[in-house]
Amino acid sequence: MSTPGEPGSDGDQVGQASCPDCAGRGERDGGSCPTCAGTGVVDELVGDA
Amino acid sequence: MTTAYLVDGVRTPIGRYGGGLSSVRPDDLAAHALRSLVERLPSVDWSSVDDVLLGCANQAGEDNRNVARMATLLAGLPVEVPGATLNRLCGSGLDAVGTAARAIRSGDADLVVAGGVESMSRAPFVMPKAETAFARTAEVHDTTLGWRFVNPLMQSLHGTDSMPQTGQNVADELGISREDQDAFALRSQERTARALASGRLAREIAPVSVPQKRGDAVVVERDEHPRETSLAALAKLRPLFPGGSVTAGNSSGVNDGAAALLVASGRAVERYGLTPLARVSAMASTGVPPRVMGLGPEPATRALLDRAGLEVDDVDVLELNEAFAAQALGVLRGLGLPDDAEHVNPNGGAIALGHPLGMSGARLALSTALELADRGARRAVVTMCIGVGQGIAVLLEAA
Repeated sequence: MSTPGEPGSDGDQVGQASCPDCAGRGERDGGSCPTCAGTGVVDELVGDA
Repeated sequence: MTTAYLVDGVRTPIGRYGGGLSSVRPDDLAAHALRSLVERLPSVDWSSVDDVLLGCANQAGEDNRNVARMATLLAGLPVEVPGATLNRLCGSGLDAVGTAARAIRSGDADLVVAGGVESMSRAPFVMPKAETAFARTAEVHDTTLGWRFVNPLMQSLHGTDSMPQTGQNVADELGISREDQDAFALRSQERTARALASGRLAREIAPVSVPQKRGDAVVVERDEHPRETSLAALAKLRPLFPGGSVTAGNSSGVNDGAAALLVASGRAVERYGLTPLARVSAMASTGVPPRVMGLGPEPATRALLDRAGLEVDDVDVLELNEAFAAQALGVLRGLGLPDDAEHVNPNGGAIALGHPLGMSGARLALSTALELADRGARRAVVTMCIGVGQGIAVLLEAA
């Protein structure tokens, strides 16, 4: 938990999301998903202002 | 006092960050929404529009110098139609709808276009000027989202937690588990998938034709952010903070989109033979500590309902912007509603659809008005949390 006075950072705004192309399975069309290299996850910016 | 009606509206699909709409400037994207609204309502005398109010949270790039006015002119509306850009960060588009309704209820206007736009893909890097001559250092800020040019006094008074950190603060303070957040996120994806499959969301959308460097234009006609997932896949995602529970999977996205709605007086509705979706009856905004900004919708909703003499149980449809599952659950529990209430975000929300900041509130107002009309229900509340610690809520009632 942060406290007032503690800065946020850009690193706080990128996280893992399920791969949009293989639904997190890591496999697609009978092989490893090329989008996520078979991991099932991709890095994504996290929203809100 | 005159009644303000939400007549109809339209929005672009919501583009993924760097996706199908990323080559479209925000002023052009907003102009597209405005043109599409004009096409949807041909009986209206568009030269009689009293104002065009668009929400936009960035305004540091191609959306600078009053994107509402720029988009109005780019859309081909007469030069006599004015425009103003509103900024209440995430709540900007909803503020535009509520402000338009206030102008009409007060008798200052008969026809107001309200909406919002954000191209987070095209948000620029910005540089401050050098403080001294011949300075050999330079700052560059990414304006896509979050804090920049922080005032040191703000930092010492309230902190400058990143938005995901504010979501984590809510989860920690209210004891909202990772499992509950992921379950909420999965419901958002599942409800959105149903709404996409049924054509419900397509009713809101004006496809965008995007010119390509080579070959034919590509038509973007579907929301790009939703994805098939599962509790198991969501549970695998690494939290953004050590020991935390907020992940990109249970948070809203970073996206592009625009929306435009027509808000009209009873006199204008009659004059142009319009069939409104809903009445826009009231709006309330409140402040909360910035470090738990996600809880803003609870006091905003309570202030709104108090003013209208209503209780939470009187609300037939509640649309709560899903910045983070943690904050959405904190608000729902604070209002005494179950995590999986059927009448809350019945077509999913920003976790699945994405969150183009200035556009989202207008999208929510349109979607909620359609839902209210479809259900033949009486009342709906649209509410959103807002960075730097605010909440906003708007009351829609059956037309």
